[in-house]
Amino acid sequence: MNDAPAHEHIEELLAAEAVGGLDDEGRRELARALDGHPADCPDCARLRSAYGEVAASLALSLDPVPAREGAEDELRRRAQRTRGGARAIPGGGATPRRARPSGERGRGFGAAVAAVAAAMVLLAGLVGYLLHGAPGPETAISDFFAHAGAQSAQMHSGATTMTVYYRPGQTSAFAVGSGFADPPSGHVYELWYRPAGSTAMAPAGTFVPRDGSVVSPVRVGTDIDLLAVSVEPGFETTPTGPVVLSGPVPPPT
Amino acid sequence: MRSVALGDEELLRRLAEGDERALRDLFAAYGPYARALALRVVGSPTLADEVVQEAFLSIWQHARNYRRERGSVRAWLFATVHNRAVDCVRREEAYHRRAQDEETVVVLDAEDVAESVAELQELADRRREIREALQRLPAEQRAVLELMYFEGKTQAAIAAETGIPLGTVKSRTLLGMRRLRKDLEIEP
Repeated sequence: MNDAPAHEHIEELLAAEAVGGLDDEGRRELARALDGHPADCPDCARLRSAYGEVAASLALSLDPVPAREGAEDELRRRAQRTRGGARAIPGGGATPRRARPSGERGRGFGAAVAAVAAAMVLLAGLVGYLLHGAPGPETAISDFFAHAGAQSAQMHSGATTMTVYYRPGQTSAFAVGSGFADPPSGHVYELWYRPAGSTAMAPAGTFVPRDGSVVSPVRVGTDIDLLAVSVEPGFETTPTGPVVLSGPVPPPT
Repeated sequence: MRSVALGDEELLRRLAEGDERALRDLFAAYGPYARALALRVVGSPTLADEVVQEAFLSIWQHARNYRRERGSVRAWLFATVHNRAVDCVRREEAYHRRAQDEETVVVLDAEDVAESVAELQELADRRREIREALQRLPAEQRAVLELMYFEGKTQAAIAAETGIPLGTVKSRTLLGMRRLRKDLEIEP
């Protein structure tokens, strides 16, 4: 049997796939075409690899843009957390707790307790960073609070609390939390914010707690009105997993 | 000068063993290209930086899964960056953020880049070859490829937005990719 027509069709789909040109139907078409073909077809494998290289060449045609300041350090910290977190998470993981509806959320005394807890965790986090010999984060945090206008917003549900320290008009922020269960195996927590006037949540950063606590730099919008934390399989651009915390951002004081 | 391809595979081997210096070296070599690609696709510096961080973390976590026969390390890395960037831009929120961050997009001219990125000569030479090959493509083929790769548009979306028949978009894609493959001497 002449295989050329099949390869011609597969090549067309592989070329489009490499540059992101296939929609869902196109991907199904490619799967169907490959299904009717030897699974280990060396020609198809070579074509897929070759078009992958062509696509990478398109990326390489761009003028490189220097990494932003601190990006390498951030990557190293996140890499350490990723590996460390993966080892710390037991196989079954814990079922994350759902946030209570906002109407049930504690006020007054509860909020004060959360603030104290957050401050204690912040202090513990700073000590932790110092113990680990990383001079960057504590400097960044002290610099952050040295600026006028630092605000905070709290979320809590049961023993789980998170306070986000931010400055209106700025995107740099810090999230401080405690009482977090380990996320399910292979999952992380992700912090979300809602830009004022928007109906959609935007990602602020992912984290894996250590011993239930977290102190982490995050990025938020310059004007936000809602925060939330959900459990996700990895970095997501919109929430897909269960929400464990949520809360409004108070007006600037 | 190190050989980029062989050096990359050595970096991946060290990454698989958990060597953080290898991650730093990979980021130093390709981070600026990854950022350029992510920035071009998502349009937002904030999202682009997150895309790049997540892509490198993914490579760090899955370095053991790399198979040379499936392509180069560079192709794997850029595909990871590109997939995440396209996922971002295809969601409504990415469009919202793009508008929000439009004023802060970092635009660097070639002179700035030359001064600020310590680029391997081999990669710089390759970029010149690629740009020349792109310029040799018929404009309509180049346009289709750029819309897909840099704007995150599918063939169907390009056909719908431009009014060009879908079959024509598909044939321009294939012809353009074949020609680039040939010009860049990438053997199938």
